[in-house]
Amino acid sequence: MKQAEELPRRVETVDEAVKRYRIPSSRSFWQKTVNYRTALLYLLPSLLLFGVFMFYPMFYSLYLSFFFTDAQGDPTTFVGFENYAYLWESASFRRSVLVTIIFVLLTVPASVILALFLALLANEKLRGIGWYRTIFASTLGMSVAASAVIWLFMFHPTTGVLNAALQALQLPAVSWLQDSTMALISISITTIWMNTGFSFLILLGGLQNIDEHLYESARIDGAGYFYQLRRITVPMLSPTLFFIITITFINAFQSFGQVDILTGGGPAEATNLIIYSIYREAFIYYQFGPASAMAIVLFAAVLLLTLLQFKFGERKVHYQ
Amino acid sequence: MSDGQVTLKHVTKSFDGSQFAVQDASVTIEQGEFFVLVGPSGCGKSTMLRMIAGLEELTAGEIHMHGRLSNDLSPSKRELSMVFQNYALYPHLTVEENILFGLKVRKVSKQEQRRRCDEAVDMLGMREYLKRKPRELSGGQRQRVALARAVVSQMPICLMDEPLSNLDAKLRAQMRTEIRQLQQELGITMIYVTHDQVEAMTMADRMMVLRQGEVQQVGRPLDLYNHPANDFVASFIGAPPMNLTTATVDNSGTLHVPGAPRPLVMDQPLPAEQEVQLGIRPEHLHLEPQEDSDWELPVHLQTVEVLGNETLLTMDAGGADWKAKIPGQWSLEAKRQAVLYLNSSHLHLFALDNGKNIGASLSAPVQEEVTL
Ligand SMILES: Nc1ncnc2c1ncn2[C@@H]1O[C@H](COP(=O)(O)OP(=O)(O)O)[C@@H](O)[C@H]1O
Ligand SMILES: [Mg+2]
Repeated sequence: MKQAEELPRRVETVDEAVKRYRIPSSRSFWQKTVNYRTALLYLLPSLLLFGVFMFYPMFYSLYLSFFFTDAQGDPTTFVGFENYAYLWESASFRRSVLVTIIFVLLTVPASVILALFLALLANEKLRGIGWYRTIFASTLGMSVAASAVIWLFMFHPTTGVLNAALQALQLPAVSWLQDSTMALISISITTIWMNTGFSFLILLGGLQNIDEHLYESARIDGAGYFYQLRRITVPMLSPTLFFIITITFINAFQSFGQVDILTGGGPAEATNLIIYSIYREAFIYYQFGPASAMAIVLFAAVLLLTLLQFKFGERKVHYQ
Repeated sequence: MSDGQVTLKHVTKSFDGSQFAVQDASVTIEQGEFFVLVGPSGCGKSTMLRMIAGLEELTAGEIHMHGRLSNDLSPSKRELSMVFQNYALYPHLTVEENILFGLKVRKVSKQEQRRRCDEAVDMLGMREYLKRKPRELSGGQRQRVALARAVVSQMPICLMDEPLSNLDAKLRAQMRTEIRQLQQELGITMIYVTHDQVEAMTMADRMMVLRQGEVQQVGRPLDLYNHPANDFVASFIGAPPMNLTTATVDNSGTLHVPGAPRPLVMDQPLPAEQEVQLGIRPEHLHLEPQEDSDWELPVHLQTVEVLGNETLLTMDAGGADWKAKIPGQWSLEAKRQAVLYLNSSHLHLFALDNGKNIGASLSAPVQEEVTL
């Protein structure tokens, strides 16, 4: 009994161990931070690039949004929130917001579903599937301008292939870009088509990462194709889908080239997305103050929506 | 009633139309049997198992399950469960959802699902991690989930493809016994694939040895061990493998072994003089004459490893590398001459060309002691 008491007592808690046995480190502050300083050195080039080409313009926009400007874009008078108030009053801006929301709703779900559908097809093990994979992914390699011009030809009311096809089917011709309802739909079709390549490729990669044995196990249990799709493929693909949805979503807010080439925001502002109206405000009307305010509003909206998406979307995502 | 019975008739599979993955395999696996497919990597074990599961089509031959021709039956109609090597657990589902996945697909009633799940969970002792995701489990726990999935399915046949190969040695030994017990408790037919002959020997009622798609031998583990059909089975089964060396038989049926002072005699002479392979298991070699020793072979010892209760020797026996496993702790010097004693009835003879067991028994006639 006595002997047992004399045995040195082992520490019971981490705190106690720290208090009793921790010895001061002999390294100086300078030595301890060596890793951080090395990391900073590696980060420096990209920080510099981002700083000059992204953060500086962003903050300058914020700054400009509080001023009236001259034709060169230099700030003249500080006006506080005047520019924002102007936007709030502007029927044209409200129209732009509405058009943008409709455009996002038209393009994002359709892009993702189409890309997923094509990826599922291309993931089948069939002879010559490599060809289809290349074709489906090919819009990835096409510039916005080139794609938009191709569609411009296809949408042409008299010589376009789309109306020719409708005519062949004895259907009335459509004013793809001239009708104010159809114009937004046409722009959306072009955008969906342009999104497909990238989304398709990423989703196909995600599909190929899914363990084949999961499907075999499900087959032995008797699960059919759609049951497997719903209960295995989509959940397993959810991180990829989430990524694609986020990217497509942000892209939709930034769709500029196709609007500029196909409709120029018309007819009657029917396709005047916020990003396009920023351009018009700044570089056609030289209203840099309101344009900057719009840019800030758009940025805040996209940031907010993306954050919301992360907050609520990520719950449904199964990371492995 | 032939529920749980699987019959293969001339089952053949080729992926490229020229090479065999499985070549003309025929066997009947009985209800309640623990049947092991064993062979080195790439010999076609998985392919054969997957054909039984219906995941792979047959190139030729017939598969009968539960007494019915089943070549074109879909996997879900074959009434079997399967445990995959990587367990194939659904990473996005909890352990419980994983276990119930198959029952949900088959639209088993909620009550019945609960009952079977409880039963399996108790049987495998995994109640505490029912709500976890597979990534939060250890290898052994994942293995148990995979087993539980097979148990709740209540199928009369269970297929397993190298289920223990991702576990550490100790756990592997434990799971071997558990799987064997489980199979006996449930009374199901088990078709079990492994590349590990120890697993095959310890678990199987009967086993099939495959090599490059070809069936080498089918039988009970000890029959294969004692009467290997060819040199491949002889050296595949048992650790360390059977020792082999080349010897020459003359017209009178006398066997001349390189390095041996005395020849051996075959009970049935071969038609012509030829070379054969002589085989003996490492545990049938001794360093001291035993009661039944009747033949001896001088060798050159290479290494000596003492493994607690037995000693492993490697040696050069007339040009061939041999191993001997001797009970007890022997502190011997390596790199020296020694004499091995053995009983000639433990020797096996294999043809040199096709490796077939010649089936002859050998004896060592006592010579007049001319050398003295
Ligand atoms: N899907 C496949 N396509 C082409 N060859 C295959 C395929 N699956 C297996 N093989 C070939 O068939 C042979 C047997 O493979 P497998 O049954 O997986 O061997 P084991 O499971 O015994 O290691 C190997 O040579 C392997 O390369
Ligand atoms: Mg295999």
